[in-house]
Amino acid sequence: MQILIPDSWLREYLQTDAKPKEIQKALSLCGPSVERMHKAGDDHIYDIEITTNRVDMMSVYGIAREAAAILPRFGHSAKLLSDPFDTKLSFKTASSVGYLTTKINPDLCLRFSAVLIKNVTVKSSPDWLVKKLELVGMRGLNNVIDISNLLMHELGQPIHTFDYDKITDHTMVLRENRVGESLTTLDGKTHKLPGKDIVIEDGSKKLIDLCGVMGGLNSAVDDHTKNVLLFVQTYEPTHIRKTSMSLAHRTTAAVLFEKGLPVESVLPTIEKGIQLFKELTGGQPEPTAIDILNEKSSPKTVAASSDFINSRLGINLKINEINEILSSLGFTPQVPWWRKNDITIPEDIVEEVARIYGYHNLPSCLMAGPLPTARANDAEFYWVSRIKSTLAHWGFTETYTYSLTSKDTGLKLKNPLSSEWTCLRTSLSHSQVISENLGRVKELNLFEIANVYLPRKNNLPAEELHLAISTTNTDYLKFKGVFEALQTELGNNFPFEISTHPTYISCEVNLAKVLQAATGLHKFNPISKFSPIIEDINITLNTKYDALINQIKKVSPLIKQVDLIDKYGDKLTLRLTFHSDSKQLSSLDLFSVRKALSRFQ
Amino acid sequence: MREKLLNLKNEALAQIISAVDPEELERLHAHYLGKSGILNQISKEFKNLSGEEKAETGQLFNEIKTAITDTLASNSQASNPKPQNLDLSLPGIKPPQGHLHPVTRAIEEISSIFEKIGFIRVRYPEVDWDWYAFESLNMPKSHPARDDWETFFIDAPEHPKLGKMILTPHTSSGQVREMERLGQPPIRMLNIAKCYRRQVDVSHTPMFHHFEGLVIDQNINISHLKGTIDYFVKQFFGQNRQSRIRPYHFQFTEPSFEVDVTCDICLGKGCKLCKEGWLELGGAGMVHPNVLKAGKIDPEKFTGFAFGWGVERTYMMKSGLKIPDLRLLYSNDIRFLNQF
Repeated sequence: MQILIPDSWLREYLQTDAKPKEIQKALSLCGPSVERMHKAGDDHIYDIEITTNRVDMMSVYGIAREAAAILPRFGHSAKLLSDPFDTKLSFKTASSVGYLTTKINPDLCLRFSAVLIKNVTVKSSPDWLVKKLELVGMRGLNNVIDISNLLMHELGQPIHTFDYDKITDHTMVLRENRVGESLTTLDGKTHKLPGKDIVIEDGSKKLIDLCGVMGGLNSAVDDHTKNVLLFVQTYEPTHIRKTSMSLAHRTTAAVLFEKGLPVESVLPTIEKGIQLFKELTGGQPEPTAIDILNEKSSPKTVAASSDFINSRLGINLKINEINEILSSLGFTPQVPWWRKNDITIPEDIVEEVARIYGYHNLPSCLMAGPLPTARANDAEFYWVSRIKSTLAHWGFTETYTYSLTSKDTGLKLKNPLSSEWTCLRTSLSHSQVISENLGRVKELNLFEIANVYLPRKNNLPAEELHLAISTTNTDYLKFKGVFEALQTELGNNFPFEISTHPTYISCEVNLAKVLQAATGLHKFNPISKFSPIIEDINITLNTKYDALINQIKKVSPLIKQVDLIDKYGDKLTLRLTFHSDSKQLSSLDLFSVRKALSRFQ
Repeated sequence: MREKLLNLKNEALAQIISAVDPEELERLHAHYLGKSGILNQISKEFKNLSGEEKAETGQLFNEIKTAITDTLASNSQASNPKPQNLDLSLPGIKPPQGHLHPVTRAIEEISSIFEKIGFIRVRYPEVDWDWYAFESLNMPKSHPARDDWETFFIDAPEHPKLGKMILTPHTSSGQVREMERLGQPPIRMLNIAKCYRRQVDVSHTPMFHHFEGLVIDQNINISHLKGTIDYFVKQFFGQNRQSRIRPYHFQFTEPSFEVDVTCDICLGKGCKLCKEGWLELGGAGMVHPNVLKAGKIDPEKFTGFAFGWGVERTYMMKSGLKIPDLRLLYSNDIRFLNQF
């Protein structure tokens, strides 16, 4: 979550000698990250990222409260000037009031509060208010809407205002919506509601509010509004997120509600709202607000010993140092009410102490201790890396293609991002890469090593590591030679099958299987004392080459090696190596062999 | 004719190899290659051959002549190869040069840095159960990462205990799997794998790579996490780069941190390209006790830390590599790939 906080607004609550730059640095190191700082006239605007667990900092006051704890650690003075949540209420509360009939589903709304303000005059806001809103990127609209926006930004609690006279029978039923219901929100957009959204219907059964996301247009305050219902709630967070996400309607209110707001902030916000309404609209609040609390609130304690804290920090803080840090954050030692959702286990206390002490002040060292011995996929990583560099040295370029495909492979995504990525692939393919790159270079020589995903019944798919090599050079034997050389490299005569396509040839092997038998160990054969006799013979090929070679080798055990030297049409020149381990061969020894070979010629 | 030539070659090579003194070699040279040597005589017979035969035999003839010449040259100390009329400033003929993908280069570099301090590289399913990806990592059911907007789900029946089948959105799904594999600490895991998230823009691709470190042992504390990160940053980015950790929030770590590295342009002073001198590297934290429990490790006895960062993002932050659009990495445009 991002929030803009003007320095001047912050200083309405925080008295400090720290300069904006110093505030930025200190907050970033120990609290929320101040990602950027803009100048606006004489003022500075902090652009702050707030993590989702710290919704208590999504307001001017929230940041002031945090800064008051952090700044003294950097040698700055810092004092909170007032606490808007620790205020005497000027109104009474009751679970039912004469001006509003309610029926509330307690699971959806943890606190339902509202007060009627009569005889308001809707008009433009004063300059100071418009200017304040503009600093944080909002426009001044009218005094009623501006008050809501100001309150939300200052206190972190969303507010809604209804035109009281547009609520039929002054009746509100807060419930989950039914399938098929729709509602037009303030921005004029009509939403068909997905279901299980929190809505309010009035006495005429029409929906008047999409709770926590945006109010209904039919009950909105307009220029003629006389009576306003100031409406401050705590909604159940998961409902709000679901509605806001499925409608792609991400209002600030929804973003705040879905993080889980504390019920404690509701009444102080109404109090501040009443003051502003009196001041800016001339409205007269009813003396009693309706307030229905559906959550039992009780003080919360989390225990952590100083030994525990120090063992996690790697240093030795004294107990009073720890206490000092915690009380600066509002621990009494009970968890402060605005942190109740966030602080739950001793490790959370460790975090609070460590960050305020300063992560930058903690030592940095590598761990000692024993090393794990049970290794996992070492051989696979070794060979994959070796094959990759071998292929690169042979002139092949490595690709990384998406494992998602539009081809139906039986492993479908439930929620694909686009129609080209709907299934997980069961084989690697370079066809797209080739067609996209044709003409860019003279020749494409590509390879990829990646998992393919083979569906299995009632189980995770089998993830199989595959190797695919492709080339647009259609010299079949040259391509075949790459795989033969790989066989030598891996010490494993794995089978492979080359397939030809109109513009390229390619071959894919199940590398996982191949690597099981890969070996870097080579057998040593003693080097013979006797020199071989090497002869080239000329043969006309009238069968398959490999059949011919087998036949030739069968002629004599003295034929140790047969190499193809030259090929012209069906004429082959073969180089034969004759050798014996037991004696030096002479021409005489080969007489009968040569004779036997002559039948091939 | 072919027959004759092959016999001639076998005989010639045998003689040349067994020749011992320079005179003998000179004689053989004249005998085979001289003006009235055997090869020249044979070449005269070519005119009697038919066209097809001529081509066929000619090729063989040239080959044999080369073989004899080469063998003579290599066997003779007296005869040096003639200096040829070669312009030595001509470009050389290079062996074929292929290219490894930048992601591979990054993964290999990262692995070797962590292996030196005892991390063991592993890999775990890229399609996994909700339990390993979320539930065991202390992510509540309502956590945004678990809904349809951020994570890809597979259209397959749920596992009765482990839940939905998903494409892993992070390598953290290997944490509990590694605890299960080893049974007990010490653990120093480096898990590098493909990950998937429903996001695509200049800085996101729906498929990407993460590398995840996990250390669990007795007395592991924040200073060890800082030490490990410092070590990695200096090895990977260079000795002149600094790292820092800041407060952050993740479900599976407590406390949680965001790790920053000083900007490669301004080295921490602050410039237009960074946030006040720092670039965000990624998340880290002390392993949440609930995650240890899910891996059947006693959080009273053992503690740990973990970090998980994008391979692509981390590699892009190395000085000199400014790729404006991360999608280029998976475009497989040969003009891009050939630059690495």
